[in-house]
Amino acid sequence: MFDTHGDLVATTLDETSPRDLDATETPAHQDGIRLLGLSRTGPEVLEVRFAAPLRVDDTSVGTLLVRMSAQELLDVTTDYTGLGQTGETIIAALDGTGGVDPLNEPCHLVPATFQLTVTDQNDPAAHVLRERRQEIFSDDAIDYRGEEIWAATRFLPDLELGLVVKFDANEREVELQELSREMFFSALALAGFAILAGIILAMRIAGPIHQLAEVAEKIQNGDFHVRAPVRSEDEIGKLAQAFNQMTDRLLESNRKLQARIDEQQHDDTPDD
Amino acid sequence: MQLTLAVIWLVGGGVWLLMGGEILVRGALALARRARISPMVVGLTVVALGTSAPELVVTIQAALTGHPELAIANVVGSNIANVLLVVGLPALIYPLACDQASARSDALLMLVVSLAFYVICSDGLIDRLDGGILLAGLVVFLALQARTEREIPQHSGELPIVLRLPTRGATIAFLIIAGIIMLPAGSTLLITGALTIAEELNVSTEVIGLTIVALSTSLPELATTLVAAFKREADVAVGNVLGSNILNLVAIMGAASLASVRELEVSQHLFSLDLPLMLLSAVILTVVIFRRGAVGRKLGAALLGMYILYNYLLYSGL
Repeated sequence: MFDTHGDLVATTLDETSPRDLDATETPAHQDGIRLLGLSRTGPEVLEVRFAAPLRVDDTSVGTLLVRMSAQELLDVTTDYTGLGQTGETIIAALDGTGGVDPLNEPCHLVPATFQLTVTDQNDPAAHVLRERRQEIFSDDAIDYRGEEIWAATRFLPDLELGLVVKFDANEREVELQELSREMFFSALALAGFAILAGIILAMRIAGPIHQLAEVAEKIQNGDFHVRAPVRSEDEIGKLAQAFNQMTDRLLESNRKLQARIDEQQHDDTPDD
Repeated sequence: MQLTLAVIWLVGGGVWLLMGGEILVRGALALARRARISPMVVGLTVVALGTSAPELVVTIQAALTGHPELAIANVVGSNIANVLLVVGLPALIYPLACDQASARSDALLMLVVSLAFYVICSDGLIDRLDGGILLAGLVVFLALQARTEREIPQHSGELPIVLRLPTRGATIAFLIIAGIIMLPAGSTLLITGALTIAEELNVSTEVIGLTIVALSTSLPELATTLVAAFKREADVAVGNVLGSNILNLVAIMGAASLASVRELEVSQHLFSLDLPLMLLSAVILTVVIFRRGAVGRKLGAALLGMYILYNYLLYSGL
């Protein structure tokens, strides 16, 4: 808590804590609670700072500065659900000198020589802090490792932060290849079933027709006593039935004809 | 979901292998007839090796794609299934006579080859020299077959009686090309399905090879034998099994170890359980054949029981 001169009046920090609070961050005459910003105060330690004016009967008596952990924001970046093998979330802020400072630890190893500036054309983190708008990158985006990535960005205006969710373009391709491989294998397997079903169906239809043809051939050669087997009630069965009836009638008329010939021959024979 | 897909791939692969093998043999037989090659030579080469084409492509592909455990497991598992399941199951329906004239020499050869394979595996590796020795066994087998002057070997039972072979050159070429395409396609599907199932069920590739893959490639034999048993003509089954078991070891394992880039490693598990069981089943079948007996319902049930117990042991991780 600071008075109107900017002097520290009271604090919850103990003596050994770093006294980096600065009353000048928030002029006492401003109204309402203001967000001052986020800062990284150590590895994986993120803090958010608020300021509010202290008034007694409309008279400004000082400023209240509140510093609290923003761990929940960091927790979001360590949740890799749905981000595959290479995905990660990065929260980035400008460091005041044109550099881009990631507030959370990237999950991949950062090259020692790596330094990102806001003018960097290909990095989505630099892009979102420069352009201050949300965008989706599906090509030409390169991350801090120099890897080609797919990314979605969002600018958080109140906090002046850039949020980047990204994964390696390569991983998406691997997944797509895997999916197309699975689909190809499934199609191939199903095609096998379809061909087999076709063969079985064709054999079921062609088999009886083939038998019928064999019977017809025998009749053609003069054997009127063969009959086609009737195994079903369907069209093929009816065909075989009709075929057998036709053969019966052929046999019958043949028999009648033969009888008449015999009779004629008998009549023609002169009686002795 | 992944498991369902894998099962579809595996079964689909089996269907492609079955059709591919059948089509290739038909095409090759028709070609041999057109080229006026003696039926005996055709019987010994095309039919004998052609009907084992599914096992051959699956084993070689497994060895080439860095899954030697799957290659060996397929062959060993297939030989175990051939005796315990392909002989055991039909025997429950109708007793299988084992008094064919050629059965004795084939049984003896199977026993010798199985024993030789066990010795070859005893150093934990199957190298190219071992592959050469196995292929030499193939030459002996073919020579023995030729001496017995059988035009079509007994183990051609996988192939339904070849009727109405095509005569047109274009049809023959189509059959051969289609067979050559379908076999590796089926093999790829079968292996991918098997590896995915192993991963999903959290069992070793070797166990899947010894059971599911071996069974898939032995299904044609089982189907033919079962159909024959229902018609009370299953005697041919014993001949089929003998021929198939010899060819699996000498031709398929021999070719796979020659084709493989590295030596094929034999796991301790294979050496302590699966290979001894393969030997034991070979001994049982040989004893029955030499006593000129028949595989009746009791022995059939015992063989089948052994197969079920063996599968239980594999999957319970013992």
